[in-house]
Amino acid sequence: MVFLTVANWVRSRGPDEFWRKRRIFRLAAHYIGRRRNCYSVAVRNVHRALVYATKARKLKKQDMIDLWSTRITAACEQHNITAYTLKEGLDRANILLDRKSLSDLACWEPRTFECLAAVAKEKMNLDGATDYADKQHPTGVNLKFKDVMLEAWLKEKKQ
Amino acid sequence: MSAAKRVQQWATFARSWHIFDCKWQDPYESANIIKKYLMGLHKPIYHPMNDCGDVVVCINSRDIALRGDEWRKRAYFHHTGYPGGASWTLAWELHNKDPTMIIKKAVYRAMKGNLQRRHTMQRLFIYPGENVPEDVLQNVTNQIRQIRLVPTRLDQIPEEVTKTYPKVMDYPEDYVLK
Amino acid sequence: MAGLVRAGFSFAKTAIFSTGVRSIATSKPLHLKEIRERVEGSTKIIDAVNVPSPRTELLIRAENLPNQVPAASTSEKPPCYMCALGLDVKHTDVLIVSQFVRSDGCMLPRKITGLCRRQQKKMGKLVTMAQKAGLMINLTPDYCKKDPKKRRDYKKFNTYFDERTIFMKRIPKPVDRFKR
Repeated sequence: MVFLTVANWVRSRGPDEFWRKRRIFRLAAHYIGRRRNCYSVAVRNVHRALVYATKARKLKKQDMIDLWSTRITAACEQHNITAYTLKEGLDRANILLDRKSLSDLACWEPRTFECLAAVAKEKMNLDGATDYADKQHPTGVNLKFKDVMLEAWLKEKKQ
Repeated sequence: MSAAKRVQQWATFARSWHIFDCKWQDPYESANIIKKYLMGLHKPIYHPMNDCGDVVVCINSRDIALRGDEWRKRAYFHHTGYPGGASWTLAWELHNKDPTMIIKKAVYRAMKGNLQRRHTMQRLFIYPGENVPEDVLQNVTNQIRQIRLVPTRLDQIPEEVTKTYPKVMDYPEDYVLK
Repeated sequence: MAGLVRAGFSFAKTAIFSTGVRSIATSKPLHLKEIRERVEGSTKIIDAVNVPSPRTELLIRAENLPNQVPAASTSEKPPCYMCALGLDVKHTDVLIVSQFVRSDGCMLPRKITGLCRRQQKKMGKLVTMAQKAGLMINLTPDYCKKDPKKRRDYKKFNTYFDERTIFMKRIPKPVDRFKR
């Protein structure tokens, strides 16, 4: 196995000017014009790009979270509940799904999401915590909640 | 891709047309709703890079309602680019000149300023009255719910209803009816 | 001297021509009265007739409601009837707001409405809002432009009001209720 880059990195640490500059030029290889050919210009741009990359590692995650939230809000709106009710209801019903999986379900399995929304709403109703921002009943009211709401079913059986 | 899947793909990404009645609606509040439909934010398949926005047709934009004294307080700024070219137009003056402009500007300002904004605005149709061209109207499949209730004027309520409506206040005994 | 003459003249004028309004009542005014004018031959007769209030049967009071909550503290002054009802009145509820106005659209004074100070102020503002929005155009003076569309400048466009502005100095920014 031939290590092309790592070997170069190791060599470029040294006092040799050529290898020190070469490390920067490698990183500036995809730039255009003097930004890739002149060292003094390239090194500034490379440093700036590295700073951007550092910041973007956090921003990328935040962007994804925002996108998932948007999708979940959109899907909740179709079922006439708020995203807050969905999250709170699912948490109380011990359905621990994160935003990524919820948005995936909303996107690719709308029927599953519909059931989840109905479950969340039903759980909130059972707890007596009605969210007055919710406009109507959620769609999918024909579901048999007895199969899902284990807690409620247990309570009914006990009485 | 199988035939059924292909149809599903079309159905998912097809543009649908929504209609919104602006009668007695606040343009700045309804702009947030309209924006959501224009950009596709109401779909679970939303992504900033995919073109899933819908078309919105606004009717009755002449009958929008502004809150409180905003008709004479809100000013629209324009600069021609030449020295002394600044001009401020009050909301009611602008509405006199073009009854569609306020809602258009409200929607434009509600969206983030990026390259997509002007193209998204192309999908917004605004009509001052109820006269919508037939070729636009035949595409419409959905109506967007209004935010505010359209108020009923007292003279439009029939006399019997006004008389038999439950009363809260009674006149004192020595009151002279006027 | 001139002032004295003018004062005497005005006194004589009021003494002779003051047939319209008299503040002296010979009998104690009781019961709801309606002023009726009728013309018999060459004489115009104006008399006040006692009429039963048209509102008594339709009246709604908090103490008559079936599921009313008893007052928590009896030591304090009982709340006025609007406070006791606890209605969330908007300026678009013209059927309620119009009960507090005269036939020319003016708010009735507190002596007649019998509201507490806060409610009187609130109802007065609601009446103003409803009039400005052109929702009670049949309860306006004769010289008013009845149709709101025929008013001048900014007044001809639809306006709505936020009821929170009656008592709140600053209205908080609206939150997106889908986000929380």
